[in-house]
Amino acid sequence: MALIDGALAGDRDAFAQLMHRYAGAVYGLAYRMLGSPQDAEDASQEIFLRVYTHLARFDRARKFSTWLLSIASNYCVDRLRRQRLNWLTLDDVAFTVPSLERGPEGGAIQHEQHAAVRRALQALPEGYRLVTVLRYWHDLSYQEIAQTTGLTESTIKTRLHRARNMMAERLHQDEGDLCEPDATTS
Amino acid sequence: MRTGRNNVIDEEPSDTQFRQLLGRYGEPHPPSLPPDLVTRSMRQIPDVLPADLLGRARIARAIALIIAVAAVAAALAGAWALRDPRLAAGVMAGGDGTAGRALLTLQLAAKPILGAVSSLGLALLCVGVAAAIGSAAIVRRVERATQGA
Repeated sequence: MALIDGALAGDRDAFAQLMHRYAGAVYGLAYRMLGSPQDAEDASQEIFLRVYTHLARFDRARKFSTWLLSIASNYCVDRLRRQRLNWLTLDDVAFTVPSLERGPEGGAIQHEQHAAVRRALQALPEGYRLVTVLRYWHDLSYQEIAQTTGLTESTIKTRLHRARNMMAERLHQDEGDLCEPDATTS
Repeated sequence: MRTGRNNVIDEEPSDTQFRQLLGRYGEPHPPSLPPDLVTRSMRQIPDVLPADLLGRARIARAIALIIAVAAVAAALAGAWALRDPRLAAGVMAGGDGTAGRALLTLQLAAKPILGAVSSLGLALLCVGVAAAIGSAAIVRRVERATQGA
């Protein structure tokens, strides 16, 4: 709260410290949602700008992390929807060819494993992807996800259930394993 | 999937199994932060207090709303003129007394405007509808940007 008060008073160092504290969470969410390091960087900068702009409206009865992630979530979902509506030019197609460079996941074997999870995540509809990322990468409770997204807990559980099945199936396909769906399906 | 009483989905086993599946893939694994992300982000932060920035955002939203309302009014005026140009003039007809004379004065002053509205009926309707849709989109975008804040 002291950092928030400092930022509201115009202390840029205080806001920078806030950003340092939450940069990992914001970048991680953007990366999982948007699927590319470059998009995640651009999104993170825009999200922090929005956080700064609306800092005066932060309700101190809420957790700052939940409020921050709700801004980040809304931005990422909006960005994905705009991307779907944009007509692609040839230049755009050229730049959307998947890069062969490693993402920020690290070494060779881990890179391929993380890439498989990234592909499975990217195959989810954005609404399912969001609740999945918030639950399993940010470890939010159903209530916190509800506060972040504005969805009901019932909707969250339904989306998580379907997302788990979809991702499990996709990961098994990637492994070349045609085993039966796991016990999460019925 | 196990179900408990009243067909409530029992989430915990599925949740645990999925975490185990992710664990086999080394997830969750935080991506490496670009080293200068915060520095670059700070360069985009304007040297204005957050409260002042919020005030500007509110003004922008108010202007967008005013444009939307004006556009809807223009669209309705265009539709009205299309239906019957004389109706507009008829409404403005005044009676005796101060109020009537005031209304008559307004009617005379509005006549050129009403004439223009009548002749531009369809065009005004189209422009008004397009402006209303555009303004609604802007207002919606501003609302989404502040959602959660």
